[in-house]
Formats: sequence, structure tokens, C-alpha cells
Amino acid sequence: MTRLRFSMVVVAALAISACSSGSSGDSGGPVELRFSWWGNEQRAAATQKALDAFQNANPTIKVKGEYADFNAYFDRIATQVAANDAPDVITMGGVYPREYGGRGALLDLKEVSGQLDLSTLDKAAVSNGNFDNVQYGVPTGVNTYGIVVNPALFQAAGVPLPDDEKWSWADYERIAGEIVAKAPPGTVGSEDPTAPEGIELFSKQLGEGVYSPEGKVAISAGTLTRWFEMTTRMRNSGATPKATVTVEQAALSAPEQTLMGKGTAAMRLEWSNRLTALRTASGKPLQLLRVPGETVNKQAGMWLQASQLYTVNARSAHPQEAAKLINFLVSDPAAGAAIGTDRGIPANKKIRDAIAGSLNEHQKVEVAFITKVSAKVSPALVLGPVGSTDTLQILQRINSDVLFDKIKPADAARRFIDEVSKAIGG
Amino acid sequence: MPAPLRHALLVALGLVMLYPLLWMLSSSFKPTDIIFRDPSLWPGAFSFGNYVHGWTALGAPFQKFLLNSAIIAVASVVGNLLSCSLAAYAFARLSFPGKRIMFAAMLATIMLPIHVLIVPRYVLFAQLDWINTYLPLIVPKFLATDAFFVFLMVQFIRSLPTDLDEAARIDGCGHFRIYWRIIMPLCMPALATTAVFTFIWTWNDFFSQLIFLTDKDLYTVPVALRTFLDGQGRSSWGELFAMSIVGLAPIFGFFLAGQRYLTQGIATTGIK
Repeated sequence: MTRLRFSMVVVAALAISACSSGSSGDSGGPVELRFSWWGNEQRAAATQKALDAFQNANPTIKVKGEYADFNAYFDRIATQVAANDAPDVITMGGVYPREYGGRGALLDLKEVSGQLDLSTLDKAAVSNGNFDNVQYGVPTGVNTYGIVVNPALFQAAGVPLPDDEKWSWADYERIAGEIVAKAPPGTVGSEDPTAPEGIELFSKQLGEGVYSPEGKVAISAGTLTRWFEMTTRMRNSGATPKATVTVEQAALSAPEQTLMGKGTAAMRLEWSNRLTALRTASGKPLQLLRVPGETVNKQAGMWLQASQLYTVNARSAHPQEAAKLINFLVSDPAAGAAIGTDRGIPANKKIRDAIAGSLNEHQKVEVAFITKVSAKVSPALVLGPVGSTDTLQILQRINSDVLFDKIKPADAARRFIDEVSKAIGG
Repeated sequence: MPAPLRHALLVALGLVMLYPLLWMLSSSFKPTDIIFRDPSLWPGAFSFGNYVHGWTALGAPFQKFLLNSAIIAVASVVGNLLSCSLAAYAFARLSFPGKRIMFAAMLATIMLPIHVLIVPRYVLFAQLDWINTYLPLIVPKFLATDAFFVFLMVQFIRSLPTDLDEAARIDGCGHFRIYWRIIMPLCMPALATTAVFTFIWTWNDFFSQLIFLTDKDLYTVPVALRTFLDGQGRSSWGELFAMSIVGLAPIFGFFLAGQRYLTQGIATTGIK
């Protein structure tokens, strides 16, 4: 056993030295790049079209795609990075870029800035790939967290759609109540809005946000208490569903299973990229609005979030060519046409306009919404630090206690701050 | 308990266990959008659309993935049969220095989870330039790395009387001939168990095939099936279930054919 382990260590050491000596690259000869992403066969076909266009434009570079579904993809990336054999361009998302970047697996894109023009992309989205003042990722496209409304239910209740340039959280609460009072039985005014994104918006508008840039909890107990008092009042008045329904809903993830997807809720806080799925599921012309309180509070709380990020392997032998590929994928019209909105609404305004004609009606609504809010969103999102992936579970647990009247809003606020602080080690 | 009652109870329990499989079978005949809306086991209308479309949906006909899986599974079966039985013969019949320690070390390898081994293995195979070939999945099988089967056969060979070996030796047989002519024919039940299990486990293996194969032309059935899934609500469930049924057929057949040996092998090797 010991000998076996020892030989493995030797092999590993050899691998590291072999790789580090080969990273001078950029000789001008033919280069083969490896590019990895997650997704299904449809995405692979669309991506292949973009890669073909890239190879036509750059005959000396050959790109090999590697893909798997989301969970399998990150198992494979973890192994490849650990074994020093990761692809040159790696697609990342969620908390992964911070995790891999923090461990030195991703290249600081400043080193390849000659090949990569980030000035054409939405600044807010670009900032998603930047942490600890290093740019690690390039956004493939953007989403935003807004409020989805079902105009058919507003009409049935005789309640006018709110003006999202003016409305406040008090209006939201009042409107949800009016809908329940006047709409056919079985309708709710809104689904329960409690989610990490919801409290992020709410507290950001008051100048707080859930996390501080230093990686600590920034949201105050007072703000959280106000939030839980609001959701409790709404549940009491029947504006939001019963606690049992909300808790059951929290465990489901398919758009078809949400109350909005079933056509029985008039409002739901949701990511903009789920609009198509919700519209298909409900069969209703659902709309996206800016969330309440954007214009009446201290500042806007909505933000643009990169749906995915392209990153470069820190040990890539061909970082220049890798950057060239990324630049092509996010700013070349041919790549834009091939990929469309498959990786989010393009963060490049030029590409967004270029593909506008080929979108279906659902995507058009989504693009129009992103374009409308881009100029009004809050400047930068503070990404959750390592450990913040637990926040969702913590919040769901506490929210269920609040909705079942097991704890008071003020106690829930304190517990949330305690538990999240522990999870992120701050 | 009277026999008819016992049978009825067993059949009922069997149906409960089979439910997920039956659900998948029935869902494979339904269009994707009603699979989760209609929980009934009997599809309202039978449609073979999922099979027809699923067969070609992945950019390559599905028989390609079946063939890839078959190559790896059959090669693994041959490798394990030869190498594990040789190693087992040595452990059961020969005496050599360090035998006990090596036997213990071999057993210890059963207890290492794949997650511990995968990175060193990947580094090793990457250095040999074997990534994106079937070699990392097949060559180790020819080197008796499946300690479980070595152990199974050691137990079996130990139960054979050594008189047979001695008689063969008096007739002039060397070790290899004793192994090949005397021990192997008597080991049939253990060999059958090894063959059936190796086939099923290799056919169902997802993780190592995912890690070592990144080129779609080399994908095996389990890896290919995962590409029907999508995180953004565009998963082709119906086609996934249809092709899963197709992928299950070979192991089902292999199990039916080898079932008799399987129980015999397990019953006679002391592993219960």
C-alpha cells in the first residue's frame, strides 16, 4: 500500500512539472483547444455551430467540445482540475467560479486582455465574474430576478396591473389582498416571496444586501423582521397560500409544478429566464415587472446576474487562443446567431439587437425586460462567499417555522443572521 | 402460512418493488409533457415516438452507444475471468513470502471508495495518454484489480479438495496446467458469478466512464443517457425512459441466462 501511494505521489509530481514546463505556448502553429460546458444535445448542436464558425475564422485553431449534464459535468471538472488535465475554456456558474478561482485553478483574464474585449458587455454582468479584484470569468448572458404576473388573473379580479415604475412593497401587499378578495376561489394574490433573492432585493433597496463585500452578513435584523412581518400578514389575509402549500412548493423545482405554472397565482418572484417555461406551463401571456420598491426606496435592488461564465484554465498551454475563443463566443454575430438565448440573454447589446428578429414571442418579452431594466439595476452584486450555498436551506427552514407560527418574525431574523454567519464562517 | 397465501403475498411485494421499473416502462410510451401530469401506470395511448426519436436524438444512432458499452463490458468480463482466477489460484494454492499481507492489502482495496482513487488514476492514465480511449476501463481488469472477484474465487478454490491437485502433480502437471485443467473447470459456478456481476456492474457503471471518456463518439449507454437531461426544463424525459428500457434489455438478458449459475456461485463460495 505505502509503495503504491508513494508511486502515485511521484506520478502526480511528474504531472505537475510536465504541465508547468509546457505553458509557454503561442507558437503560431496549429493549436487544439478543449472547451467544456454542461447541457443537453440541443445546446451541444447550437454550440457546435458557433465553434465551426470560429474554426472557419481561425483555421489554425481546432476546438474540441466536452459536455455532460450539470452534476456530472462538475464531477468531471473537479477530477480534471485535480489531475491537472482540465480543458482550456471551462464554463462555470453559480458559486463555482469563486470556488475554483480562489484555489488558483482559473486564469486572471488581465493576462489575456489583448484578445478579450469586455467593454462591449453589460458592466453589471461582467462584475459577476470579478471577485477579490480579479476578473476570472466572462458572462455568457444575463438574467435578472423580477416579478412574474398573470394579467388574466388581474383582469378576472378587476384589479389593474401595477405601475412598476412607482409601486412599493405596501402596494404589492395591498394588490395581492385585493386579488384574493375579488378573483375566483382557488386563486392566490402572490406566491410566498421568501427566497434568498427576495430578501437580497428587499435589503439592497435599503442599502444593505445579504452579504457585505468582505464576506460577512450585511442584512440587519430590523430589515428581516419587517420582511417576515409582511409575509406573515399576507399569509393571514390569504393573499399568499397557506403554510402547508408554501412549504410543499419549496421542495419542487419544475416550473410546471409552481402555482404560477398551474395558473392559480397572480404574482411570483422569479428569475427572468424561467419565463418561457412558466408561460408554456400555464398557457397564459405572463409578463415580467420590476419588483416593488425599486423607485421609492434608497436605491434600486434588482441586479443583472451572469447566467454562466466562460473561464480560462490557469494551466492552459494556450491562454491567448482560449481568450480569442471566448471573445468570439460573446461578441461575434455568427456565434450570437448560433447560440441565441440558450446561455441567457446575451450581455452584449450588439448581439442582443442582432438576434432580436429570430426570437419567439416568449423570448422577446424576456429580452425587452432585460433591456428595460439594464439601465436601472443596482451597480454591482456582492457574490455570496464560500459557504453561502447553505443560505437557501437555512432560509427555507426558518420561513417554514415563521409560516407555521412556531417563531416570531424578530426571532426568525436573529436566527437567520446567526445561522448564515456560521455557514460562511464570518 | 399456506402456500397460496404466501405466493400472493410475495407477488404483491414483488409488484411494489417492480413499481419504479413499471412506471418507467409505461412512461416510455407517453409524450414527455404528460409523464408527470398523468400518474396512471397504463398509458392512455401507446406511442412508440419516444423510441423512434430517442434512437437518433443524440446526434448518433443509439446502437453506437450500445456497441461501445458492449465492447467495454465484454472485454471486462474476459479480463476479470482470466486475471482474477489466476490471482485467486495463487492466493489459494501457492505459498510465498508475504502472502498474508498481500491478501490483506488486496482486501483493503475493496474498502477504498472510487472518489479516493479517481484522481490518482486519472493522473496515471493521462500520463500514459490513455484518456479518451477504452484502455483505462479495460486494462485494469486484466490485472486482477477487482479484488471482490479474487476473494470470491479464493473462497471457492479453497473449498476444492487438494487431493485433485496432488493427483495431477503426480501425473506431471505444473501449476499452470493444474490451474487450467483441474481448477478452472471446477470453478464454473464462481466464474459464472464473476462474469454476470462484471457484466452488470460494467454496463451500469457511470462515473468512471464519464471521467475517462469525453469524446461523444466513445460514450457508453449510461453516459449518453444523461445527455437527454437539461437543467433548464428542457429534459426529454420520454426519450430518456425509452432509451433506458433499451439499455436495460442486455443486462436483463444476461441476468436471465446466468441466473442459475449466479445463485449457485454465491451459495457455494461462502458469500451470503
